[in-house]
Amino acid sequence: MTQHETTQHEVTQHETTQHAFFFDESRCIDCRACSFACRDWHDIKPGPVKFLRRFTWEEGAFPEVTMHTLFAPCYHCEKPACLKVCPNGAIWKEGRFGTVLVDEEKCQGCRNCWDACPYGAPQFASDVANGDSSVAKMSKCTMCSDRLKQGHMPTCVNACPSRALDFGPIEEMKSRYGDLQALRGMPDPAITKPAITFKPLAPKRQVVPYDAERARQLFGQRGDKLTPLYTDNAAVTDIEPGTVGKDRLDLKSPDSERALAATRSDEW
Amino acid sequence: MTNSTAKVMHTEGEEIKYTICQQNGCFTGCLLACHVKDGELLAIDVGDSINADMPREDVGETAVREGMVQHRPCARGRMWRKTLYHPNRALHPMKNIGQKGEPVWEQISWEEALDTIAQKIVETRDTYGPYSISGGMFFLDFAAWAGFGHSTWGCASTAGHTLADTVVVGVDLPMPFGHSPTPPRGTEPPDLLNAKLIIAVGWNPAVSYTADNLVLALAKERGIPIIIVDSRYTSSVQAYADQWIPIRPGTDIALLLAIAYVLFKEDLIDHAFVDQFVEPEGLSGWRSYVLGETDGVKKSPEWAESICAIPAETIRGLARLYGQHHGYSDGNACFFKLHFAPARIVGGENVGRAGIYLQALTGNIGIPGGHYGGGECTVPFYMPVPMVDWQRTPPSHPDPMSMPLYDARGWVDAVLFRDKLDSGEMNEEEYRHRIGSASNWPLPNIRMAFNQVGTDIGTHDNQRMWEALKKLDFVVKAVYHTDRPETAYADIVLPLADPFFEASGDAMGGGGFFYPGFMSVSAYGNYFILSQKVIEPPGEAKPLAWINAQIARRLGILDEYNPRLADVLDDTKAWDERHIELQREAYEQWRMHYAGWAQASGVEPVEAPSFEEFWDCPIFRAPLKREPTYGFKEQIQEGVPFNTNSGRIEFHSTFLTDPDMADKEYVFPLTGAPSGICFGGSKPAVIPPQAEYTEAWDSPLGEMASEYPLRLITPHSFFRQNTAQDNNLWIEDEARHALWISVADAKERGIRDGDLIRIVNPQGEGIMPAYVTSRIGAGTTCMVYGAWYRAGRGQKRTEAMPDGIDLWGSANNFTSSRMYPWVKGNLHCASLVQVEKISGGER
Repeated sequence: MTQHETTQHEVTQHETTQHAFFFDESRCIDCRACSFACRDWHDIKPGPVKFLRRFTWEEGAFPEVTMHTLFAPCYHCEKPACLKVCPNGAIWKEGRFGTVLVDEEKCQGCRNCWDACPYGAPQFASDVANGDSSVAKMSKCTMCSDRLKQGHMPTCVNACPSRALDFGPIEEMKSRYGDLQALRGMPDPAITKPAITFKPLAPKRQVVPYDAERARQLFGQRGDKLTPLYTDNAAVTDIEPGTVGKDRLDLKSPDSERALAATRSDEW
Repeated sequence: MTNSTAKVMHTEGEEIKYTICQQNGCFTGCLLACHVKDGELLAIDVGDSINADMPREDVGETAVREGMVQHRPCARGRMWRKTLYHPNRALHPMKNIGQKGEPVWEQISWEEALDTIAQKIVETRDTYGPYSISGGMFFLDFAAWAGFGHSTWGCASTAGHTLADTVVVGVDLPMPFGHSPTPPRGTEPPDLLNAKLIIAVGWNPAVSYTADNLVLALAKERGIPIIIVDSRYTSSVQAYADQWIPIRPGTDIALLLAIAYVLFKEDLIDHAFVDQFVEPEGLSGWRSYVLGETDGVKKSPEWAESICAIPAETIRGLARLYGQHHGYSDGNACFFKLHFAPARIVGGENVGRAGIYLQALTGNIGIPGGHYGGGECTVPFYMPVPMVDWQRTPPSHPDPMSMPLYDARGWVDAVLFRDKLDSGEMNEEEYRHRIGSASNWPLPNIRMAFNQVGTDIGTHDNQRMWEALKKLDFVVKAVYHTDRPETAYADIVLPLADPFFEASGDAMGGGGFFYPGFMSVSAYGNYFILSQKVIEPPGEAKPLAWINAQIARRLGILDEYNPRLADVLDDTKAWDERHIELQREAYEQWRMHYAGWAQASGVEPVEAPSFEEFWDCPIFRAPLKREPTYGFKEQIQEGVPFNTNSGRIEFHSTFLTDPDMADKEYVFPLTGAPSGICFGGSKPAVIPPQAEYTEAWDSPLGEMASEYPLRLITPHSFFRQNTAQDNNLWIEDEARHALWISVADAKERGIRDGDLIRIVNPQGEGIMPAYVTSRIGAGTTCMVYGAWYRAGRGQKRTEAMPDGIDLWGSANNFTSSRMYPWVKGNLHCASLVQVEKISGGER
C-alpha cells in the first residue's frame, strides 16, 4: 500500500509516536544504495523526482579539502511548514508514526509547499507549475508508510552498507545518538522541528605532520625536465565561485535541472 | 519493530525469490530479495536472512568477527531493475548484413544463428587449426570437446603486483583456484580490528571489495589510526581516514623507498622477524641501494618529495610511526596495504615489491592485524560448497583455460600482425615476441572470435581492438543490450539472459549455482548463496549455458559435454526444473559431508537446513568461530617455508637476474608448479631483480608529460561493476560521468565545472564534461573506468580513433596497449593526457 491509497481517516486509531531518521555522516560514503533502494521500492521513474536526495559538496582548497554528504529524504517535521500553506488540505500528518503525507487527488500543484519547506523535500516531475493542465503534482518521501504498517523499517535505512542510518521513535533516536538536528549549512531545526538526528563528519587530524602549503608547492613542481604547473600556490587556493561545481549545500534549487545537478555523485 | 520475522511485502499476491549480486571483479556476494508478481520484478530488497530490520546492525563485535552480519548490496545491487527492464535489451538473434563497425541488422531465428555458428566453428577449426578461435572465458566452455580452444585469460597476471607476489613471497595472486601452489590466504575483514595502525596506499574499499567497510568504520570509531595515501580524496578517505596524504599518481615507489630509507637509517627494523624470515643477501643489497651506496642516490625523504609531492617531513613522520609498529616482536601490528591500482602501471613491479618489503622490514607479515603488504589474496575456503556433478566425459583437447597462446589479451596483436607473419615481413620469433607467446606454445592463427559482454571494452586501447575485430572472418557477440559498443563489430549477435535474474543458475560459466562469499578478496568465507531464477528473460534471450549446449549439440558433442541437460534443451520449463533437481542433488550431497568438512577446517558445524528450508531463503551461513585469516600465517607461525628459492622472503630475485628472459616462465621452486606469469619480454632482461626507482616512459615527470601533462587515473566506479550497468536508466539522475580535474589545472585552461572538455593523447580522443574539484592535486585527472565507448554518428574521425572520437568517457580509449619491456603483456590503468576547453557546441 502506498500513500496514494491511504486515506486520512484510516490512521487515527493509534496514538502518535513521532518517528525519526538518524544519519551518521561520519560513516557515509555516498554510495547511494539508499537512493537506489528508494527508487526501486517506490518505482520512481527516471527524472527529477527524488523521494530521497543525496547531496555531496566540498569545502576548502587542496589538500585541505573536506567532503560533506547529506541524507535528505523528507524529514517529516513535527511542525511541517508545508502542511500549513497548502490551500487544498492535501498535506496531512499521519497519526501513528508522524509521517507527513500528500494526497495527490487534492494537490493542485501550486507549489506553496515547496516555497515553505526549508529542506526542498517536495518533489515535482516537471517544472510545469500552477495553472497548466499538465501541472506536476507534489510527491515526496512517505517514510515507507507501507513498510511501517507491516512492522518493517523504511527501505533506505535497511539498505545502508555502511550502517550509517537508523530509524525509530524520535526520543529513542535522540537518546541513542544525541539531539543534533542540523548539519553544517542546514536550516535552523527550531523552524519546523524535523524528525531527524545527525552525527557529523569526524574531523581529520594529523597523525603525522603535514604542511599543506609545502605540499601545494610540490604538486606544482615537476622535476628538472619539465616546467612547473604553477609557481604561486594561489593557483590552488584562490577559487573563484563557479570554478568548483559543488562547493556548498544547495538544498533548494530553483528548477529541476539544477536540483538534479546538485544531487548527482561524481563517482560514476 | 526490530523483531519482526515476517517478510516485508511490496504488493499483494507477490512472492519473494532470491538471487545474488556477484559481478565479475567484485565477487563480494550480496543476497538480493526479489519481489515478483505475475512474472514481473517489482523491487529488490536487502536479503533479510539475518538481523532483519536492524539498520545499524549493532549486534556486537562477536557477530562481526564471526561474519554473522548482512552482506548488504551497494548501489550496483539495488539498481538492477532499470538495467534488466531496458528498452535496448537484445531480444532476438541478429545478423549483420552491413559492415563491422557500421552494422545493418537483420533479425534471424535461433536455429539459423546456432547453425551458422556451429558451421563457422567447424570451418575455422578445420581450415586454420585448433588455435584459430578466440573466446570469452566462459563462452567456449564446450571447446575442449570439439577439439579446439585456448586460454584468453592473462591480463591481470601481468600486473605489477602479481610479479611482486610471485617472486617475493611465492604466491601467484590471480591464480588462487588450483594453479597456485599456495592455498589462498587473504585477510578476512575482522582481522583489521587486530591492527594498531592502518596505512593504506591506493585502497578505496568504499567502492571495491566492500566487505571491509563496516569493519573499517568500527576500527576508526575504536580509535585505530587510519592513514590513507591516495591521489584522490576518495569516499574511503572521507569516511575512514584520520589523515589523507595525497600523492602524485604513479610515483608511489618514491614514497616507499623513502620510508625504507628512514627505517634503515634510524634502525626501525623488526630484527627478530627479518633475521628469521628474510633472505639476508638480497636484503643487504637492497639496503645498500636505498641508502645510496650502490648508485650514489640516497632514497631519502628529501629525494622522494620532489617526485611524489609528499613533504619530506611527512614521509619521515610516517616512517617513524610505522617503524614503531613491529607486529611480530611487540604485538603492535600495522596493517599496511598497497592495493592493486598503484602497481597497475608501467613500473608497477617495483611498487608491488616495495610494499611487501616494508611489511617484512617492520615484521608485520603473518601476524594478526598485519598484512603482507600487497594487493590481496582471496580468502580461504571455509568449506567446500555444493557442486553439481555434470557427469561429463573427459575431453580429448586440453582444457582451454590451461592452454595459453599469448598473454595479456595478446589476441589483438595476434590478429593485427598476422598478415605480416604470413607475408614474411615478420618472422615467427618477432611475431611471438610481439604477442607474448613462448616458443613452445602453439602458434595462434585467430580467425574467429566468440565473446560475451565486457570482454572488449575492459581492454586497453579500444580502437586497436575494434580494428582487430574488423579483420576477423567471423565474430559472434552475446550481449544483454544492443547499445553495448562491441555489438557493432559482430557478424552475429545473440541475446543473453541475465545470469542472476533470468536463468536457473547460469552465471560464471554456466556451471556454478552456489556462490561462495570467499571468492572475493577481503571477504567473509562463511556463507554461500544459491541464485534462483527470478524472472523470464525478455524476447528470445537465452542463458549462456543453453547457447553453449545448443552449439555443442550441433557439433555432435552434447552427450560428452553436458549429458545431464541434453534431454531438456528444447523445453524451457523442463530445463528450469532439471536445474532445481541438480541443485537439490548437489545440496544434499554437500549436506551429508558438511559437518566433517567444517570440523576439518576448525569450525564448529551448525545444523544445515534441509533443501526445502534452504530453498525458502537460499543462503547458508555459519559463524566463523575461529580467528580471522590473514596471509602467510603458516610461514611465520608454523615454520612452513615461503615458496621461493631460499624459502624466505626475497628482496632480490635470482630468477630475475637471468640476462635472457625470453621464454622464461616462473616456476615455484618448492613445488615445481608453473606460475601464470610468462616472461620473455626482452634480451637482455630489463627488470631489476629488486624493487628500484625507474622513470617510466609515461611518467608524469618525463618527456611525454611535456606534451601530455596530466596523469589520467581510471579507478572503479560506485555504479558500474567493470562495464556493467553503464546504461542503467536511473543512473544519470544520481550521478554524472565527468573528468576530474584539479582547480589549478582547470583555471590554467579556463575550465569551470560542467564545461565540455576535449581529452586527447596518442591512443585516443574524447569529449566529456569537467568535474572541477580540490579532491585531487594539480597534474592529476581521473576518468572513472567502465563507461562504454559511444561515438556519435558523423563524429570526427582521427588516425587514433578511426571509428570516431569518444563522446562518453570510456577510459580505455586512453590507456596504452604497449607491453611492458620485461613481460609479455601489460596492465596499465593510467596514462597521460592533455585537456582543453571546448568553446560552445555540444557533444
